[in-house]
Amino acid sequence: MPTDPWNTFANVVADPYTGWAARYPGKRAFGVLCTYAPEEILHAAGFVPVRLLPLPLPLPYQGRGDTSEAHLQSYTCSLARNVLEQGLQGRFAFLAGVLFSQTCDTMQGLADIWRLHFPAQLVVTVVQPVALASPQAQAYLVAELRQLIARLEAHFGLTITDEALRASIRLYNQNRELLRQLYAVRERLSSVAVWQAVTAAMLMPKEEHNALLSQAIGAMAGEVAIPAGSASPARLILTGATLDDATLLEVVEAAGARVVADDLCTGARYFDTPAADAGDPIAALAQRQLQRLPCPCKHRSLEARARHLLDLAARHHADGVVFVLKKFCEPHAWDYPYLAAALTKAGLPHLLLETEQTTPVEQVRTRVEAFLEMLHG
Amino acid sequence: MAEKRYKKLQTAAELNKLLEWHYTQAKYLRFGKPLAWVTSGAPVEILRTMGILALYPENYGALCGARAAAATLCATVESQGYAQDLCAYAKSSLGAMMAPKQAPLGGLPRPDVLICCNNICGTVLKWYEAVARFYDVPLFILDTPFLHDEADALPPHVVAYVLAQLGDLIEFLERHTRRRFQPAKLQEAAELANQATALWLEIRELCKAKPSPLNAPDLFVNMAPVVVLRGTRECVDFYRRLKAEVAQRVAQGVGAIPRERYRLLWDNIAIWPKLYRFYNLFVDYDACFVVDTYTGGWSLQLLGGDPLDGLARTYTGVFLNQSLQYRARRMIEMVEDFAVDGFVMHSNRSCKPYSLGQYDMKRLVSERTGRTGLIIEADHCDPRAYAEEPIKTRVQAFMEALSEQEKQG
Repeated sequence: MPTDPWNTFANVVADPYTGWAARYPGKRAFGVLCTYAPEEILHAAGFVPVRLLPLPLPLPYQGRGDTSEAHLQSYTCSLARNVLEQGLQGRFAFLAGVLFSQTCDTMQGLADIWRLHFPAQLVVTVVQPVALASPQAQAYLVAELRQLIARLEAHFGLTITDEALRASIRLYNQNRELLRQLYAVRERLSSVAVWQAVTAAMLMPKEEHNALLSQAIGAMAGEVAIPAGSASPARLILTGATLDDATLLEVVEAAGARVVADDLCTGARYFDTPAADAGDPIAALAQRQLQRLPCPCKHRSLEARARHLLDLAARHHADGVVFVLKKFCEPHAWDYPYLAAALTKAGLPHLLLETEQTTPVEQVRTRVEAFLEMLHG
Repeated sequence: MAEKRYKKLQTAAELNKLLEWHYTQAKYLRFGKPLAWVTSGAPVEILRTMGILALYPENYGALCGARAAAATLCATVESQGYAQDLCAYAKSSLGAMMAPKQAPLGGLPRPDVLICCNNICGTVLKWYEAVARFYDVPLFILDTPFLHDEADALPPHVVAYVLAQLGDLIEFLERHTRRRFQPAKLQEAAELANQATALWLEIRELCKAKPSPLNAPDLFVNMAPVVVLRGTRECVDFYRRLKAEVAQRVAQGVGAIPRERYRLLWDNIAIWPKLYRFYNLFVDYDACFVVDTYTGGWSLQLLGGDPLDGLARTYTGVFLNQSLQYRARRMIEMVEDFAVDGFVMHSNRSCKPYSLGQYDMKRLVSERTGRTGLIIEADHCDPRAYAEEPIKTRVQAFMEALSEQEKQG
């Protein structure tokens, strides 16, 4: 039976972790918590990097045993709380280890809490450099990645060769290129399907994702079902951390608007910038990290993120920008006022949507519809 | 109040004068000296050798909290789109920039350069970016990788990274302030910093005495010079006199509170807006905070050898740049060293890196020491996060539990 790629992506995202090992026999999974995770290294070590996300959201409440509330304060973001909750419920028992990347203060704390509670997993942290333009960042990150390799090799008794790393880089670059192609035609697709495709890339074996995605894109060469909408739909850009459910996308499309680009962890920030597949693979991976589109936990320059957002809006002829802000997500909350001011100055309307563990659909709809009316007005 | 719950130190007036001088000098008596705003964990010794003045927005944030100005300043900043959940030190400082007339001391004078070292949190990066945009001044980020692993020595690649950045920092300062770095003077500044931190450490050690000569508010108020004036002679002189006074209290058997029955450990930053009000809740039960995890953060000695290498290691290894596991171990040591009966942890909404993990640390410390712990939800600066009645109830229950334990011996 031929597999429909879109259905596979949708199913993976709907319930990524239940039965993972049975779905991918012979594969070993390694959890990661950030787009900055050096996935190629885990892949070259024989693992499938699997992104830990608040999926499904909301998490079915177990009503017993240890809960995240016993470990994390109420002023912690839903991403950290949901993921820890899933771990405590045993949903991540299939992972051989978990890799944290230095992102924010919350992830920093969660890494240590994780180490206390999941002794069966190898918990490793790659402390990313923060000042990306510093002349010292590359050498430090290379050493940090080499330390990671040494730990994986020692813990699992394996060898990670440069050849294997280069092969993994090529595989990941192929995935990045396919996702780029997907984004190039995303206006002809449902935003939900696009979100599912890119999020599934973080949750399933890359080889399989590449095959399904090229099949999907190949089939698109012909005709594609365009979701019903107005003749000239409002063109929106989403910016924020991870997008953890499809509510916002469904509301946007139901209101006749279209997401034409994004600046999300579960979006363009996952696959931008390929790594060099020749030469020293560790240096290439480090260089990619430093050249990528920065997230707010990193510093390239004072205006880098605003410039990127304005550039994205210009290239995609966007009518407006929606900030998707997780309650208690400090890095993104810190950038919001300056980004909003830059957009206002450029005459680009914007909307702030604050999300919690569960996003009330009605509230999102009211806000989005009012915003779209304003755009059309 | 029939009995004074608080025994004032004679050096208090001197402390006030010293801090007043610190702020006045930066505002009115600079004589052409460049001014840097720096984070509390920045290697200020380098600036001292170059004749660059340094102000500490975190210390200023605490001042805004203590002088009940934080709520207004935070509201000002929140009206500009900053979320209520962001650090109230940062928001107070930004609020003072936006509305200096509402701010204590009329706000801080405009900086020439900004030095942000992230060994205390990730918030300082975002905070200093906002300041740099506001004033359009150059920003240097000193990145000190967080130490998740409890190794005996710092990883060599981490030390090399921080050391190389110190070279960049010196070049940055020379370029933007036109002042020369003088390596010979660094040894002198490092020695002055070491003398002050050694005295401060000795003062804290004196609190092992029963009764303890100091309580938490004393520790919090008197830590200011070791942060904002480290590497200066004035700082050393102040701690010499403070130590003499504290030693005298010990010699005479004088305690910080009228009757010391319980000895407690404090974790996290103070609740500045309610400093005395809050700690007095404990004094009512004859409980004194004899040690804490915060004010000792500035008592690390610079290591010998090459002074820059010593700076790199010292500032990377600070308490707040280390794992939950390390911090729990340090707390356990403090419980034992200071003969502590119980501990109180401030779950500080403004400070996630300090607060996340406290629930597990409470369990770890209790398991290892048999001491009871209490977690209080509040904020180091924003009085809006302080709920008086629930806090009173929790303190009462905690003190009753300690009393029960005491009876059972």
